Amino acid sequence: MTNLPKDLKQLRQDDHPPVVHFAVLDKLLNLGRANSLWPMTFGLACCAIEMMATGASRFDLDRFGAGVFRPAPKQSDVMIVAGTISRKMAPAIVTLYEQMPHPKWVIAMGNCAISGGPFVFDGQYGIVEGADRIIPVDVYIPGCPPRPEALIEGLLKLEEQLTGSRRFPRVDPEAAP
Amino acid sequence: MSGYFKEIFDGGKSLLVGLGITFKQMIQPVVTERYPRTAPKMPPRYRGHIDLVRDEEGNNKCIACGMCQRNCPTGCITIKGEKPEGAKKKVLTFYRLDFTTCSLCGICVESCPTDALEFSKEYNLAGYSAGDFVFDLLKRCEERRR
Repeated sequence: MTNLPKDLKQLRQDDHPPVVHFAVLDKLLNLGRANSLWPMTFGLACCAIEMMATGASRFDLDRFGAGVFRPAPKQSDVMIVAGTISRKMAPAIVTLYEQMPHPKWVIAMGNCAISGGPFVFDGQYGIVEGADRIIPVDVYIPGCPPRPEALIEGLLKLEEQLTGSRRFPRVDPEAAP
Repeated sequence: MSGYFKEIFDGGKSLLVGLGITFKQMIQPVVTERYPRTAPKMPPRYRGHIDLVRDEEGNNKCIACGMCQRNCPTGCITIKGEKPEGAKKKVLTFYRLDFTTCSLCGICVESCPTDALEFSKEYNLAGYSAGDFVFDLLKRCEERRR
């Protein structure tokens, strides 16, 4: 079993920054990456049901180029940690993350992946309290579980982080028709 | 030899059946919700994170009794209230909701004696840090007032 860090400190976001930068080429590559974020087929708990719903025809992640769920970490760009991380599963997640080629991103989907959610209490021993304790996380999506729209919003946030601008309009839930 | 032609026939038939389904779907209405361009309306009982209810004057109805804080199974609510000089009732001064540990069970909403809590319609939250989802509900309530 891997030794999990005990402190609450969040891990660094990019643990392997590129050695050589090409200004314009990097921007172009990031534009390509942002519009083809291939996630890994990887669900841990009930949030994975919402992730599947997002990939299906009603919400259709393919509209954002992110619907190609890859069965192998070698082929994927983004890991959607959807669900509770048990201490027994944690080493497998770290292995899968390390098997993904750079550049790679992690989305923590749902309250369990963000902080352990309802499983956090004094003396609990079975749950990792947040994906950011074991791997660096880029985007957090709260909810129990989050709606498919929230997952789409999270992917758009990741796109925004990569390209520096938002391609799609923002949605204000209070002002919805 | 007969098995060979049967295989070709069966394969061709299954291809046509599959394409038939594809063409049938093609002329049916579109089911995809074009999310960032059109936003869905949440049903009345949708559970977003909790929010303070405003009364007619735009004030919150909270009496700072602490029932929600005590009943929360994950302890994601922290409230503070104080009694101003000469006043009869306690006034809410601080309401923090740590949405990252909330499981939307609704016990806080149910246990509130003055019905001061409601579920919001926030359904598309996402951010770059977990701290973005620790809400100050009192501030949110005042922001909505404006």
